[in-house]
Amino acid sequence: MLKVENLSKEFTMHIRGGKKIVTLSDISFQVRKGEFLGITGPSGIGKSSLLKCIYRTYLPSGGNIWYLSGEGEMVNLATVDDHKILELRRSEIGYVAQFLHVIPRVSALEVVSSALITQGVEPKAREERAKELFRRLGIPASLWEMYPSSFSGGEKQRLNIIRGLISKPRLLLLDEPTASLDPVSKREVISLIQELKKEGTTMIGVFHDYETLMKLADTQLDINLKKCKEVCV
Amino acid sequence: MNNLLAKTKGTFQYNFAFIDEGSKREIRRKILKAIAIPGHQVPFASRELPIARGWGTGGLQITMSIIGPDDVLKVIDQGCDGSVNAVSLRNLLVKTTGVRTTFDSREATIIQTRHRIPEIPLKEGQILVYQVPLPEPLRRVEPRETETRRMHGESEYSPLWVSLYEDIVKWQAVSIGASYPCRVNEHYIMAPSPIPKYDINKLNMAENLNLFGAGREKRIYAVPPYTKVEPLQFSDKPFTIEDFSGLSCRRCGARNTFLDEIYDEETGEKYYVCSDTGNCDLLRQKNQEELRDEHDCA
Amino acid sequence: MIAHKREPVLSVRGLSKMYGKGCPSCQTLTGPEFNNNVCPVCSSILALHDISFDLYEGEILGIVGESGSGKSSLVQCLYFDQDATSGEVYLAHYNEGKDNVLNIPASKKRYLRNHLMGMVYQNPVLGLKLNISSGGNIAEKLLAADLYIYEEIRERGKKLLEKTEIPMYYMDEIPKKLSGGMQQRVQIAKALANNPPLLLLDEVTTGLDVSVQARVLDLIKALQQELQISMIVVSHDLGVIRLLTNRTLVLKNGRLVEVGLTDQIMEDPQHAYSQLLVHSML
Repeated sequence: MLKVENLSKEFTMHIRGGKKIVTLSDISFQVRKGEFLGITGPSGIGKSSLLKCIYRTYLPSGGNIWYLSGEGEMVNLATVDDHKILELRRSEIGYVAQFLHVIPRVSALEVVSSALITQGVEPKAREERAKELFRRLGIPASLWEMYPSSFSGGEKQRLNIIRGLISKPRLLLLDEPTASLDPVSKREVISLIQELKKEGTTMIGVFHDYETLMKLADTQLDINLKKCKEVCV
Repeated sequence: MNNLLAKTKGTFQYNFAFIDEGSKREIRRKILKAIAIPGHQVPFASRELPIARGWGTGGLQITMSIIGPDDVLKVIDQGCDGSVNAVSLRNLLVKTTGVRTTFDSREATIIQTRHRIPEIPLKEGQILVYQVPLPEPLRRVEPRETETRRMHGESEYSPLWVSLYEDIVKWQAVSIGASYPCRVNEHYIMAPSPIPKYDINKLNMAENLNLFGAGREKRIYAVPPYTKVEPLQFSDKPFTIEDFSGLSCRRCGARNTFLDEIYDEETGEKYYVCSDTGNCDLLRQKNQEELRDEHDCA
Repeated sequence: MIAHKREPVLSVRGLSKMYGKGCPSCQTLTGPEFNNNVCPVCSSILALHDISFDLYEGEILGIVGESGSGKSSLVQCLYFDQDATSGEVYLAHYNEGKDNVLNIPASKKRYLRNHLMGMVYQNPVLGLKLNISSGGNIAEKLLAADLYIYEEIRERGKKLLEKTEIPMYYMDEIPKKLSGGMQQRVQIAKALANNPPLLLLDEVTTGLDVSVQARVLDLIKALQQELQISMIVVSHDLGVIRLLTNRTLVLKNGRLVEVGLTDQIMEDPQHAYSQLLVHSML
């Protein structure tokens, strides 16, 4: 479903005199439908950058990212225009960032349920679904109407995951979803992801800890300084 | 030309109807243009007259430009044939043209008026000439001439409508008494000179030609015969006219005419008389004839 | 390129706005490279030069840039407050997007302004008549769209003011008596009066204090989510852009230097100026 060919990313820092930083070079791999690809590698090697390139938060410098959309269209996420990306983000590609970018003055319930607006889900159903996930990940009802900016790190992280999962995207990009979670919530998150996977969501995840990776990933991609290996788990 | 000059008694040194023929022709051209574009204000070169601007020079110039020796003239001011202004304007026109005058609106071919339309509906062939002080209906919402012209051009009348809206919010009714803005021929909005609301409906599909002249503002506009004229109104707040129910004219007893409110100088008592004196006289005459008939019968 | 099923609501092609006569060197001697939009030869000002972009349905497009970059000129040209010098603008809701609306007659432009667009200015004086009540200001827009039923105008006015969180007792008050934040709300209500498919916001929160600014932004965001209206948001404040928009244009000296997804512009700006802009964020 997703085929990355010779992907590279370098940053040109114009305000630092045109200094270039190479983050990714010549990465190739593919992910089949319904597969979970785990990405591993040392810190700073560009694992998150890879996800951001796929999500187009970063503009890839070279290579192709072929994605077969739900409508059977072959789209190159590296070069297709912004409108198409926005359309895909709305309907089929989800992203759970490492940190929650808190939207000010919006309640937790709204943050989560608003992800369903573009899919045309009724407000009532949106709320129900959000509450169900809140309960599963142990976010107390007293927090539902609060602003996430006042949440603890773990709570924010869980909220972030719920937000990414609620719309059940076709392709979900997970950037360290279980970091900084207590063991109980971690277990719940893992089982949630597993459920979603059963429903057919294709996922690419970046993980630090090997244990979680082993539980979730079907395939492992190890990014090392210059090479990348695809290993079967 | 010579025989025209010959007809002007005493003041033969002036051209017929005072204004020179070249100027009259220019004004007639502007009148034709105004008739061709109902409700549109046509600028014209307003001439100097032996009366001051603001005293009816617009109407007077139109009358002078269209009048011929065979016309029958009636001049009224607020419906009255005998008020000082009406008399003075009539005298000027008679002195420079020698035409026949009348108080009976049915007889007149040209009626120059200030602020009223005669009670008896006018017929085809009659021309009603209005003296207009402020020809621009949008002036109350927009002081700039360049802007009001643009607004007419683009049919941007919403600011005027808003002023009606605001009136209803504040006073529960539109507070414009005279010169109520009207849409002519479903296009331009026009200020029908300060005629009362009572007279507005007479303009709609009128058989006569209506010519409006603003001398100081240098504008001519027209409502040709059989032209739609609609006062601006919200569909759920219909346009209303002055209400004289229960009142009648003290002179002729009419109950269905536009009445002037007058205080008796000696007693301070309030009473009403017809604003259209020509019509009032006719009604009085008719009443007396009826009385006489009754008397004769008896 | 992959064919899209959706057509843009608004297409802008090669839009330019010049103040002055212009000369052959105008285009070559101005722009971000020269950090200048005034022609050194003829002193003409190139407020905008060759701007092209598309806006899709439900999309919120941000326009950022420093003062004098042409941000406001751009929306003012789109709203016909200013006449563009050259270029083409197509609106999907006007004659199926076949006509370049820069060339249509003034009366048609007025129709577009009243039916297909809403504009909210930084300065309420431009968007509102301060001596006419808030309700009257909204009524003007409805009347311009030929709604001549008094009670319905009142009703729609009430609903709009409710939506923009203005207390009902302000409906018949003149905006002069309202605070800056309230005036912006009235402006927004007025802009939305005829349910336009396109809303233009020109620095709407600039000059408001932070808490008021936040409430106005929340309102815009909520309205967008409710109505799924396409918007162009002009702001020099990247925070506002990040909060509201999906895509962003970066303008500099009247030229379009970068266009991209808002998160991409924020995290991976390509052009030197965009990088400077993003890194200048507090």
